Amino acid sequence: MRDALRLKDVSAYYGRAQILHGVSLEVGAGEVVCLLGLNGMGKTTTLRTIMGLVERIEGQISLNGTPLAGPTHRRSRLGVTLVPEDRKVFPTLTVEENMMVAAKPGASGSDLTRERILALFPRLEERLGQKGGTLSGGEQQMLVMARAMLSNPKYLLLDEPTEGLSPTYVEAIRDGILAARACGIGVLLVEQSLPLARSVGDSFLVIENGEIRFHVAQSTVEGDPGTLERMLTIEEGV
Amino acid sequence: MLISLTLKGRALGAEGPGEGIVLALSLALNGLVLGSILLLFSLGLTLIYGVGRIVNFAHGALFSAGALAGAWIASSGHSFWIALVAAPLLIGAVGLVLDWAVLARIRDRPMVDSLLLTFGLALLITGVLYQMGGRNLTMLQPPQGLRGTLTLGTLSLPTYRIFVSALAVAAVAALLFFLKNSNWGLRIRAANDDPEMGACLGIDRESLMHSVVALGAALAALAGVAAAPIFTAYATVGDKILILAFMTVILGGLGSLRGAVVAAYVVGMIIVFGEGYLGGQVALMLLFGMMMAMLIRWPRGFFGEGRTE
Repeated sequence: MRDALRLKDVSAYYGRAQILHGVSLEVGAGEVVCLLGLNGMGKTTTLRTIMGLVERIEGQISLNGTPLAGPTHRRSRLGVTLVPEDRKVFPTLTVEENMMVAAKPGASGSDLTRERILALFPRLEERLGQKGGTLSGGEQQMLVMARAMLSNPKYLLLDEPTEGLSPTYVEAIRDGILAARACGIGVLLVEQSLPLARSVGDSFLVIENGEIRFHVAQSTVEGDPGTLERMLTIEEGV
Repeated sequence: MLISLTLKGRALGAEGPGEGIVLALSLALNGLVLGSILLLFSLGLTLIYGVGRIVNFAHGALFSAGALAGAWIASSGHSFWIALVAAPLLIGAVGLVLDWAVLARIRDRPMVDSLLLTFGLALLITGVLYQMGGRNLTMLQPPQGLRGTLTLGTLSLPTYRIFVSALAVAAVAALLFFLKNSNWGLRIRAANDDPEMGACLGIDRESLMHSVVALGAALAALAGVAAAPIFTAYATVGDKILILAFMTVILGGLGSLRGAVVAAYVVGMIIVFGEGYLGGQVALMLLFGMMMAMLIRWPRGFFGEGRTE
């Protein structure tokens, strides 16, 4: 069986409300899977479920064959890292400290060295001594991407990383995703921007009301670029 | 109620020529002493809230326990210096056990749960202290070399109060240095900013919280022992300092370390100068008014970096 982050028949609940209904998906090493869907359909909850940030979880989640369970920090140490929707830099830590706190033992063997990451996001190098909370939105997004990549992950969970960013920053985030993929890191990307998703995605999932409704291969999207728009329109019309 | 905690600035060096200046300098020293004690106490409270989102009502009882433990250790024939070291270590261990056995069970529950639980813990610890003899005022004598006064011109400054300020400043400086320059400190500050994000990056909040509560308890106990020769030691001495500490934490901003540092001295100075010039009740009213204004207008504290729930 190939190395992958796998969800098999996963359901998630906040209190009595069931948000995910038997979600199954697979993200291979060095693969970018885009999770698409309208607001409130369960995209963010899927990522939070993988990190163990949801009150009750049923079903199986595994990472390269090892069950992914228990508290969030243990899941992270197994090799999965979340870049959340609302960025969440550590505001009172400097840019340098934000990156240092994520660096894990063993990360030195990774291709994603500090130098390589700073080359990807040169704005951060100019602001190493600046507090995270004083950065612009785009710089904060670069910082959380850099921080996640420095944590030596096997899989990255990205929640709308380009939301509200200018084209320059979107391009930088896109480069970051491609660099992660090139280093063999699997990426589960929640993204509203279909052009960005099409440019980095190896496969596409459309989620609706907590269930995976469509699974689309890159080759299908390449042959018919309007496929994803139509699927999301169908979802909206339901 | 709180007046007994303040340092009776009028009584210190306020005689002779230039009485107004001497009084002001004496009050400033007393404000520095009270602020330093509050700082030692409040930093633990701030860290426990920051990392664990627990408003620890039992913190005052840990101050009392530290003061009484120090007094009892000294009265059993040991030196003041042994009491000053041993009591914080002992109460730090108590804090570790409390977090592991009790507080860890309500992690991430609504804040009202932690309020009620730590309030109950405070009553429990106070009850235990009463049973052990803490109902009576117990004196802790400072060592011989710290009992006199230092005279600077017309100003006489009690040596022990200067020592308490220096001790608190040194302890806080060491803590802040460690927080700034160690891996442990970096993880604490990250978790203090955002515990959930910290966990997403592999920070084990449980073990971190054990160390933070132990450290917070030890700091509260250190403040208690250091203050015991001034305030005396008894089972509820920490209740009064707890109220001032909550004001400190609110003025500085919940979870803000540098806010707590500044606010501790602001509260100390307001209490002491208020008592010196306006009377204790007026000082308290001033402080409560300031706290309410901050909560309404600047709920994130002096530096705008505290949390609002």
